[in-house]
Amino acid sequence: MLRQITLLWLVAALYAVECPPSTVSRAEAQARAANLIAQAQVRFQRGEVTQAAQQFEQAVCLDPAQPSAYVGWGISEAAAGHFEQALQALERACQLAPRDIAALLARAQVEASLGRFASAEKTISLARGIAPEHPRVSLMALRIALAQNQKPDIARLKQLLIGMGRQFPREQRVHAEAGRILLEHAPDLALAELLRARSLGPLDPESAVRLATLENLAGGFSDAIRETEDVLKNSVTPARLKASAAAIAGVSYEGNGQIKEAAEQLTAAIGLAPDVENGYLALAGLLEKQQNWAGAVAALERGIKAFPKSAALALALGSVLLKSGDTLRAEQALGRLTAKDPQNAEVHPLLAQAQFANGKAAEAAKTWGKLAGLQPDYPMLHSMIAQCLLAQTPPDHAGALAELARALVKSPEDPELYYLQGKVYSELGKYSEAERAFRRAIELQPSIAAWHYQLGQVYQKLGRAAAAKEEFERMTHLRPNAP
Amino acid sequence: MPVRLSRRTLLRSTPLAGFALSAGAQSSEPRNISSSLAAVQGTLTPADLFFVREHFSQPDLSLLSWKLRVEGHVKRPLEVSFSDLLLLPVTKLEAVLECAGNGPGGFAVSNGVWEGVPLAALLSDAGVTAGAEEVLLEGADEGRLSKSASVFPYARIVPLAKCLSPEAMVAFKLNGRFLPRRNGFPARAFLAGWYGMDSVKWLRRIVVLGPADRPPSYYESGMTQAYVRVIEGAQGQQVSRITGLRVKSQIASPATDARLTAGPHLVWGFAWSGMAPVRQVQVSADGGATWGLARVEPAASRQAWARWSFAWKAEPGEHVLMARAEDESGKVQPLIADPARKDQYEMNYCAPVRCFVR
Repeated sequence: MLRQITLLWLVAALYAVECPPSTVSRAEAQARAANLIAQAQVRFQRGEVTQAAQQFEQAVCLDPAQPSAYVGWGISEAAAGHFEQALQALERACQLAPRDIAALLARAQVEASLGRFASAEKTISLARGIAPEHPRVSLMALRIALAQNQKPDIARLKQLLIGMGRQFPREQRVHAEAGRILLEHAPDLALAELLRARSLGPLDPESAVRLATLENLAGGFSDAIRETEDVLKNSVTPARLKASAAAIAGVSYEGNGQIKEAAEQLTAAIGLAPDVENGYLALAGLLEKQQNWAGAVAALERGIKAFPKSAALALALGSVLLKSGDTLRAEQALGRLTAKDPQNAEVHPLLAQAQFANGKAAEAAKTWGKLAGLQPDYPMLHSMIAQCLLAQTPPDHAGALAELARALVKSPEDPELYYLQGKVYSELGKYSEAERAFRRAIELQPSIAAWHYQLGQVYQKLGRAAAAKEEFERMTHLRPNAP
Repeated sequence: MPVRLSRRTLLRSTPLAGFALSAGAQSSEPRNISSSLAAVQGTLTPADLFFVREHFSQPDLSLLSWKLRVEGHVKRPLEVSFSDLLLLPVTKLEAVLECAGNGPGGFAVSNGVWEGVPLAALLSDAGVTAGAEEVLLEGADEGRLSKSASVFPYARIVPLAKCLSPEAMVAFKLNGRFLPRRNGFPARAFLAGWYGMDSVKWLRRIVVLGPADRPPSYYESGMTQAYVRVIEGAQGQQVSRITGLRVKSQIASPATDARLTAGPHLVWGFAWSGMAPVRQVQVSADGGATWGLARVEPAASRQAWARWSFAWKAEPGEHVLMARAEDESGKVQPLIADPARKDQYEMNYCAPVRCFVR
């Protein structure tokens, strides 16, 4: 008896388990180990993986011949991200119980997590040899094949799925689980599997929502609506899942052009899960597309009440207010956002537009200037600043010309910049410079009638009547119905 | 820029929810929709600008219940679900699709990347029996071709050889996205290099025909008189089936009746042929009196269109621009319509584009 305990203790020591010396009988040790395993499993279910690992380790010390202790320990360590320790524990489990499928599958998964795909595949082959009809073996093979490359090997995955289809033609849960595994990295194949699962009967709510999502993305809006109906009618479906279903139904109705139903479902989604930010954005987006500005604003304000710190909602609100023409409120909303989050580059263009619309050209120029500090390559940035400077009272011509010069360094072939330059020079009475600028603009973009008109005016100022006439005729030629 | 939720972002952030771009309202009446070629940046026509030709109303098909039957002169009739289709090996091909009735300078032509299962693979799985010569491709849309004709599902009979060629597929994606409903969702036939009427949308049946097979509904529908070439000759009218795309080029810009200023302008457009790659495109600014060579960009595939451009120094006056393509089989785009043609198909002759330069 003592020899057995010592031997087991030595075996445990070989696997770097630091066990305190045991003074209890083997039967007592086994009983305690079983108790610890049960407690550890509960902890694991609760997500307390570190504590679970410790308890499994203690169980190993008490009963070093108990494979389930090693399996639990290995899985807990893997869940905690300690893959090397996990692998050691699971290798020991597999030695103690070479036909234990759970141990083999867990080991394969950890081997894959460590990037040892050849080993993982060997382990899967072992498992397949022991239990060829076990669905979890096929599902683990799928997981490993998916993890092997940064870009999924679609051809290989298809082969595995075709094999699974032949092996498990009527096992809905296998195909639903395969769909879940493939969802993020191979959504087309996930769709195939979930459709297959669905063809075998109604799905569980989570799988139904996954399928509806994919059907929606594929353009199968009517399918997605039908799929979500059962989830929404099911009284035991958790509220969050119903919220997801309602959201998918909403965008699917929108895809079908049924806007009223879409708004109803997106509103219901918010009601079911008021703590999901995307719900408010989705509803506002739908209403914005319909130019229902009041509705979009109401949805976003409701969202902001739930998420007062959300930059996305505040930005969306500012944008909708701007589009609806309520530029004063837009400026207020966006101003608050930049005050809270001055590094948020997305806000500045909208705020500058609102300020400009509200007659605050100088402030708009400053806002564009702040954007220049955050995102110097923002398109047409210097052109926007120049326009703001020109709109000031009095216009800042020198500042505008400096901005345009900066813009031309970046975009020397931009006709709009030359045109703006021409306008500035015209306002300053520098008609020769204006002529050069307008001519260059026209050279780059000859078909804008208004530019020929401006050049014609400059020629008039320069006393070149014939040239002016030609430009006015070109303007008329390009826009024969112009007043 | 307002905050926009990309479908990918939402799928990731909310594991059980996703959002799609709106596809817009669906119509119950057959529609013809097309967009100017000038709207095409690069060479791919965006899916929402892809031309649409419908003979009958769009069917509303379900991904779950859709099935494609392969039957007739085969050893093993198949019933392929959409799930099955997604798991089969696929092929991808950039190719142009043109309506047989597309006029010179017309917009019923688009170019895209098609993805689907080779038709040859499905026919091989089904095991075509000896003696089979043709294939009936049948869609889920149905109606009457004329008031006196019977109601029938839109279908075309296509030579088996074409279906077995590498250019034929059951397509379910266009430009990387699943087919829009109006372009044949969930799957359509796609026969690259041939006019569009044979690329049957909303495909539901592939029937391999033996030499004596004459599907009654097809022959009663009037389809055999549609899409035929009618040439008036000394011996009377000759009627023949229309198949491959004739060599053609079109000017995308400038548009007809454009008003331009004198100076340099870029004339550009696209050229294609179902028979062979485009060898050259010539452009004239004087109604065909003189021609210059355009710069033709290499096409992505033999079946895709090629983008071309021509630097034109426009002098004041009225000009008639024309573009004329030639393919590597020696076929040259005709300058005018063939007076012997008594039908309104294969109108590949040069389309003059008038513009006024000041």
